[in-house]
Amino acid sequence: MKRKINYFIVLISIFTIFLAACNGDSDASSESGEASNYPSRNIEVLVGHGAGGGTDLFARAVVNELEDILDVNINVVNQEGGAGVVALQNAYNAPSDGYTLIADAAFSITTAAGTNAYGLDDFTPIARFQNDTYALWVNAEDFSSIEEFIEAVEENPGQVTVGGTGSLGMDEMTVFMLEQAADMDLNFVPMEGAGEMHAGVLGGHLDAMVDEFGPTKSLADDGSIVPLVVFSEERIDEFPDVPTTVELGWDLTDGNERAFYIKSDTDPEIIEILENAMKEAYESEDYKRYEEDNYLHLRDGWLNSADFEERTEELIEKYQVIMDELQQ
Amino acid sequence: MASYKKDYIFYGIVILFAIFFLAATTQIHSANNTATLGPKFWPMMILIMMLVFAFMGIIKTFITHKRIVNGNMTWTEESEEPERRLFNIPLSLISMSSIMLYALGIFFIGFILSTIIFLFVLIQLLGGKKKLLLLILSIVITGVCVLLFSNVLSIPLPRGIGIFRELSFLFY
Amino acid sequence: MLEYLWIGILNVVTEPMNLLMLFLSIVIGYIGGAIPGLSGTMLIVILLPVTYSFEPAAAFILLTGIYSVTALSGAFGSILLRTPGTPEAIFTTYDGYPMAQQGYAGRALGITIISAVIGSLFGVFCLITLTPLLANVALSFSSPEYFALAFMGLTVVASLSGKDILKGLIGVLFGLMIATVGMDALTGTLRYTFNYTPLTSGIELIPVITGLFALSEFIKRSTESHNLGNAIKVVKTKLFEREIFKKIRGTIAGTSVIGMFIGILPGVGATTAAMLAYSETVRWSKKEEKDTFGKGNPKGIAASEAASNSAGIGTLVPLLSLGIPGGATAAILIGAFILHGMQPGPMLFNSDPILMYTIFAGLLISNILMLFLSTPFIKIFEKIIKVPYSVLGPLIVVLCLIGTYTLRNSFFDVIIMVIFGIIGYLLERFKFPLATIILGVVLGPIAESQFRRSVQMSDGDFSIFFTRPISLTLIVVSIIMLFLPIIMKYIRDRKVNKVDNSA
Repeated sequence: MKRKINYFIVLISIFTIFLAACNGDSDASSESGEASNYPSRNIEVLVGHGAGGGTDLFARAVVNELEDILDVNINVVNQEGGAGVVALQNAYNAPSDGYTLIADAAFSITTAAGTNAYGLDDFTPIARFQNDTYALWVNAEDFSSIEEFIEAVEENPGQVTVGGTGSLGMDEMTVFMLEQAADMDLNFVPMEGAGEMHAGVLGGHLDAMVDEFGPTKSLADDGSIVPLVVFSEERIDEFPDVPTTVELGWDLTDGNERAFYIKSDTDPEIIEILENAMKEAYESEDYKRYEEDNYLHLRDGWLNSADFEERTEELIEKYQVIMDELQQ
Repeated sequence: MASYKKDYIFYGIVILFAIFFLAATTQIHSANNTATLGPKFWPMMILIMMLVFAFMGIIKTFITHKRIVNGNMTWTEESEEPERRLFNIPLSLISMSSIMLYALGIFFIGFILSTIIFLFVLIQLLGGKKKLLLLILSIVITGVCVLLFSNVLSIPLPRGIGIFRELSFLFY
Repeated sequence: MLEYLWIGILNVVTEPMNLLMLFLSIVIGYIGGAIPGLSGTMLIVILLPVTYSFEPAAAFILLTGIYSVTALSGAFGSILLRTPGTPEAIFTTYDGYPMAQQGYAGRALGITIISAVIGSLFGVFCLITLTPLLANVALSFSSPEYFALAFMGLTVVASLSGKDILKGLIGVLFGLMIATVGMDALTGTLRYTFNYTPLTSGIELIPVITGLFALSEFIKRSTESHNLGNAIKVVKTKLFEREIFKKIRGTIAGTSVIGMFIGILPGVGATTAAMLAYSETVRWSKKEEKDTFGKGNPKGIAASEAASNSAGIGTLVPLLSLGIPGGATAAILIGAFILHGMQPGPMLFNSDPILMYTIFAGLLISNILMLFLSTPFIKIFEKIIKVPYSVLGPLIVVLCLIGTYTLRNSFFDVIIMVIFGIIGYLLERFKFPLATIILGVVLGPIAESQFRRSVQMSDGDFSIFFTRPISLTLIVVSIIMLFLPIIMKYIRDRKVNKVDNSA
């Protein structure tokens, strides 16, 4: 009996050491890949979100083009969890040889919220592809204009429910910023996924929701839900009658910004090769068609590495202030 | 070990588990103050119920045990047959530790090597004879897995670290 | 409508490409689902780019066919190896594995296929005829109703825990605790992660199931001696056995309906459907039959399979009628529609009815074909349990490990699986009802987040659960069901006492 227990303790301690290795930096020998013959083998793109979601589809659409441009196999690896933090962690543990990229939509938010321990010192953006546009959606039977909505909120402060997916993510930030900009008192309800949220608005369980144009397309075409206000500077061709936040005097045009990242200590020449390849992918016809099919072309998405790094820095600072207010 | 002693140990572990997590629950700070019911509400409820049931279990075991001692009831004691042993270590421990070592193996030396070793060694420990045949079998099984997952379906299996990582690129 | 269906069937049968895709989907689905670690979702993601160049009809026959077949073939591993190929097949292990161990692997596989095919066909039938109606039912469900449903599921703990209800209750609570680890869905707060990053995404269901059931079984069986003579004798069985079918037909009918209703609710899914169907079957069974569940009762297999397959088709209802994905795989199918330049939703029935009905016809025909094509597969799979366990056991471990790792390419999940394997082995030696832990893990996230979300929606008013008719009904019914056995026992005891007194 005693012997059995001793044996067991030894095993468990070995195991614990290993568990620790899962978390810590598994000293990845930084054998820098040679830029001259890059890429010479398969590349892996880590996606921090589930298969089939917006960021996953984006990564796969770009990878399709990149494979032809770079002439290598590129594997998309979904590592769901923590709004992309798990994928960042795993990428950080991989060697910085340019063969591990990350596709992420929430980098600036998770960094601002503190759930992502790696900042711009550890990861560098390669390029931003999409700057998605939000709108405030309601059931067509409930409201027909933003004025009606504002009136309803003023009559029942804190009672009007607005759905969004996830918590402390872009959706909740958007609703919070809307409350501040328009001086409204809303009741944000975090939903599990877009499906549940759409059903909530259609079934009359939620008064409104924030979502992008792609996922809501079929319901909007059908006329069962309508956008009240678009979170951008300019009106949208498909919905010419819907006012924008800027028109209403609200300074609120943020959206999900989907981009590729890589470890900062990667050979700069490799980053440049990737950046150029991505520019080419961005301009390809197939990618353009994918954007149009999914209503992602409403705003020009492209930003190169240096520009997007600057923007990310600004965003992190801005979101940090909001996070502090949310979490106080 | 008598069955009632096992019950005491079980409920004891449950109580320790619940107390530990109750302590951890008090340390949780909500990251978001707009929610009506905070993140502590639900786990608190579960843990308190767990404590209640565990204490009920202890009382129940105590009462049944008393009755048996008084001769009002009899335990239906199942006889446990002694476990098979290898090198004087119970086989259950051998298989548990080989699974653990295998899991460590795929992390450090990668899928290919650790799977071949794991299959080759464990099949023999469990009673397989014919060494050469088993070696071939282990290699073939590993090969099929790598071919199917990493090559056909392009889902990369664990590569290991350092030199093993580099080596794995020869295969997938 | 019938006319469209007829065109659809002709489209499938006369177009060689469509017919080829139909066969392909069955073969890929059978093999892929049987390999633990290759889920239907993953197969569809992998095959999606391949279908770019196809005609839409052929592409969707392939994708929806695989979707439908893997819902069934995940059960093969459950029955033969106690290693479910898909999470919803976990409930098939309860009765399927014991039955196979008694030598009736072929019978268990036969029941699986018949129940699954009937479940799917019922699902397709509802999909064709009742879609608009069902979509409205789905829309009348919101957070309070979802919570009531989860509550109903949790109250079946009594029928799953065997003799020792206290242990069963602790098992469920343990499962519910496992489900709370990670980032809280409502506030984003990290719970019980102890500053350990891999824990932030929580503990996944699949590593827990694989550990508790497959690995613990391996550890247990490795301690037994495996002389070759010890291998299980396989009893020859037919796919369709009349007496057995007579026994299970009521179960299949009832659980198909349960599966359909759960399946149409966005975000609930086939695993919950199979669990509710299984436990309701146990709950409604005759008293003398209750003890045979978990020991190879054909009704257990039928319930789990009919419900999970009908739920699988059910998730297509909100997808096709509203453009809302009911589950993970349905979300990927939406992506597939978009890639082919279509937007699933209410408009699609009007703009392209022929494509819709071709897909329906494909589902119908592939399910009927599955029945006829299953015999050779059963013959092959049946032989697996004849392989000596000294070889089969280690091989199962390798497959479990691949399956868990490839789920999200995470070593941490592998560790979780090993830990739960050891926990499962220790608890099982102690005759602990493992099924109750799974009950907690599956229903935990739904119960907690929907409870808190309901209260959030009502702005702190707890009466929301009792003012809405559907949720009130569900809660009242489950409370009555929980206490009914106790009341019945009390009444019976009193009667017995009276008889004793008068005698």
